[in-house]
Amino acid sequence: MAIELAEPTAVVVAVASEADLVHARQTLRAEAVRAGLGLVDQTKLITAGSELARNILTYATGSRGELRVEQVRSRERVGVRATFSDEGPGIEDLDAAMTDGFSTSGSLGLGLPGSKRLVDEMTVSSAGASGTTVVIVKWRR
Amino acid sequence: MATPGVQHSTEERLRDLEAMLDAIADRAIIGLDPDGVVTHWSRGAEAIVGFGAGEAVGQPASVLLTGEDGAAGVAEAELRRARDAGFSHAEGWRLRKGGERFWAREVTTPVRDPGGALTGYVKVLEDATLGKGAETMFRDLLEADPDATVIVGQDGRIALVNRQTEKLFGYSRDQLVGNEVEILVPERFRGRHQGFRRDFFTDPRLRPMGVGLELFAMRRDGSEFPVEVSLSPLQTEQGTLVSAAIRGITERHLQLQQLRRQSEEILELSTPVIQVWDKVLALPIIGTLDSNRAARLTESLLEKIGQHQAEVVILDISGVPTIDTLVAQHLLKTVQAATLMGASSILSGVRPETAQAMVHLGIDLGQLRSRNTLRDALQLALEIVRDRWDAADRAERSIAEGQR
Amino acid sequence: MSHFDRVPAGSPGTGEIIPIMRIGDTLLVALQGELDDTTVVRIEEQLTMEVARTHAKGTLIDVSGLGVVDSFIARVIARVVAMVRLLGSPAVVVGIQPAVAVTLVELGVPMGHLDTALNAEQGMALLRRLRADGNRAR
Repeated sequence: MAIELAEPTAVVVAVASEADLVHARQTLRAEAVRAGLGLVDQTKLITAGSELARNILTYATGSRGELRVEQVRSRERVGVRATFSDEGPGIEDLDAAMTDGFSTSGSLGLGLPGSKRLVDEMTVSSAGASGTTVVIVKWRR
Repeated sequence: MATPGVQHSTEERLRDLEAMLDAIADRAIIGLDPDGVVTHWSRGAEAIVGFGAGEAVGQPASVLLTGEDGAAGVAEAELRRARDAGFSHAEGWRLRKGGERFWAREVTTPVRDPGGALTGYVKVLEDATLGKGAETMFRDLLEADPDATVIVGQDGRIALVNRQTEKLFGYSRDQLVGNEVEILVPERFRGRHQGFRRDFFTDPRLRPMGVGLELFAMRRDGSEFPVEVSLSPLQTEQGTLVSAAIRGITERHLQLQQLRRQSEEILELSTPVIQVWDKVLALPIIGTLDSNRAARLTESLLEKIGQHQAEVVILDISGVPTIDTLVAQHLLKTVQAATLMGASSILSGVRPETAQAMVHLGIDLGQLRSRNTLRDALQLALEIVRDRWDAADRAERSIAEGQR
Repeated sequence: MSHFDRVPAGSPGTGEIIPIMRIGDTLLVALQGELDDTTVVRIEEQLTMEVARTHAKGTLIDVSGLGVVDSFIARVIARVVAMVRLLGSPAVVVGIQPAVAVTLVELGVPMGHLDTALNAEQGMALLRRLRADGNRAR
C-alpha cells in the first residue's frame, strides 16, 4: 500500500533550442541503455522523447521547458521515465490533442497520439496558464 | 375508511391505530379488501410509492407491481398464499408513480373478523433498493472477490473489509473497521500515504495505485509484503468511498509470471522466421496474436530482413484461428515496416472463411498480395525477386541502347 | 567511368561533413549519427542543388547510419524525395534500420509513397527500374 520512490538520480535537460533536442535524445538513449532496454524500445523511447521535446519548442511560452529523465523500478520491472514540462499556454482540449491529426501549429499533428503508441505509459496534464506536463514510461521487456 | 358495521368505539380505536401506522415513515402500510383493492394507504406508502392516499384507495394493489408481475397474476397468487398460510413474504421489483423501479420486500397478512371470515389484508412493504437487498448483494460480491478489498471513507477510516482482507493481513474485521487505513501500511510510508489518499478524493477515478512504483503492505505481525492495488471510487448515500482491491505479489505469483513468460517464449520459438530461399523469408504465424506477441514477431521479422537482406517476406496466417481487425492491423503494420526497409510482403494461407470475415469486417490490406497456399506464395516470391533484377537489367540495357 | 565528388554540407558548429558522392550519374548521400534540425535542412538544400547541378539520373539517400528518425527528419526525407523527383530523377531511400522502420509505422508518419531498398546495391537496381518506368511514362 505504500510507495517506494524512484531512484533519486534524475538527469535534467533544458529544452530551449534545436541543439537541446540532440542533447535530449542523447540523454534518453544513455538512460535507456542503462535500464537495459532493447534496441527497438530504445528507439521508440528516444523518438517519442524527440517528438515531445519538439512540442515544447513549438508550443510552450517562450519555447522553453525541461526534460527530466530517470530510472524507475516497479516490482520485477525496470524502465525509464521521462517528464516533459513547460509553462503554458497549455493544451485547451486534451481529448482532441490525443487524436491523430489534431494540431494547433500546422504540423502533422502526430505528436501526442503518435508518441503514446511508442511508449508503455503516457499521462498528459495541462492546467491552463500553469503549463503542460507529459510523463512517459518505457519498461524493459 | 371506516368499514361498515364497525362500532363507534372501534372506529375511534382504528383512527388511533391509523395515526400510529402513519407515523411509521420507512414502511408502506397498505390495507386491502378481500379482492386486493386498496382500502388504506399510509403516509409511508405515499413516501415510498409516490401515489397519495386519494389516488391509491380504490385501486387494485397490482398498481404497485411491474407489468410482468401483474401479467403473471403475482398479486393474486400472493394474496392466496397469505390467506392459506396465514402470511406471505415476497421480494421483487415494483414500480413507483413515475415508473421508476425499486426493490421491495413485503409481508402480507390476512385480516379476519372474530368469526374467522376474511375481511381483507395488510401489506407491509419496505424499499430495499438501497437497503439490505442491495447491501446483501454487494457484500456477497465483496466476499466472493479473490482480492482483499478494503472500503475506505473520505476520513481515511476503513468502512468495510472482506474475508480475503482478514486472511491477507491477519486482522479480524472488527480490528480493522473504524481504523485509519494506514494501519495496513508500513510505518515509514504512512505520512506520504495520507497525502496520496487525500489527493485521490480530489479526482476519484478507477486507477492503479502508485503507477510505476513498488508498493508494500504490512500484516498484523509487522511483516511487509509487496502488493498491487487498484483503486475505484464508490458513490454511496454516505458520499464517495474508495474501494481498494489489494493483491499480494507472493513468491507464487512471481513464479506464475515466470511461467507465463516462459510459455510466451516457447510460443515465440514455435513461430520462427525461416529463410526459404535466397532473399525470401517466411514467417508462419501460429496461434492468436495479441499486441505483445505481434510486436515481438514484427521486430524479429524486421531484424531477419536486415540480416538476410531479404527482398520478399511471406506472412503465412494459416495457423491463426481468427483474423479480426486488431490482428489485421498488426499484420498491416508489419507489412508497412517491411516495406520501409525495402522488402515486399506476401500474405499466404488465407482460408475462405478468413477471406469472408476480413471483407465483412472491412479490413483493407491495401496493395498487399495474397495467395491461398504457402507454395503459391513462394512461387510468387521467386517471381518477384527474379523480376526485380531482370527488370533492372532490362532497364540498364535499354538505357545503354538509348544512349548509343 | 565513375568518380567521386564531395560536397561539404555539415553544420559549421560541429565541423561535421555530410558527403554527397557521385557514382556515375547517381548521387549518394549518407545520413549518419545525431543530426540536428539545422543540419537536416541544410542537407535538403545541398542535395536538391546538387541534383540540379549534376543532372543526376538518380539519387540514393542512405539512412542506415541513423539510429533515430523522428517525424521531423522523416518529413524532411520525404520532402527531399519529392523535390528530387520534381527535378526529373527518381530517389530511393536505402537502409532504414529495423527499429526505425517499426517506430515510424507506430508513430504514424505517412511514408508509404517512398521508394525504399535494403542496401545500395538493391537501391541502384530499383533506381534503374524506376528510371525505365519514368521514361516509359514520358
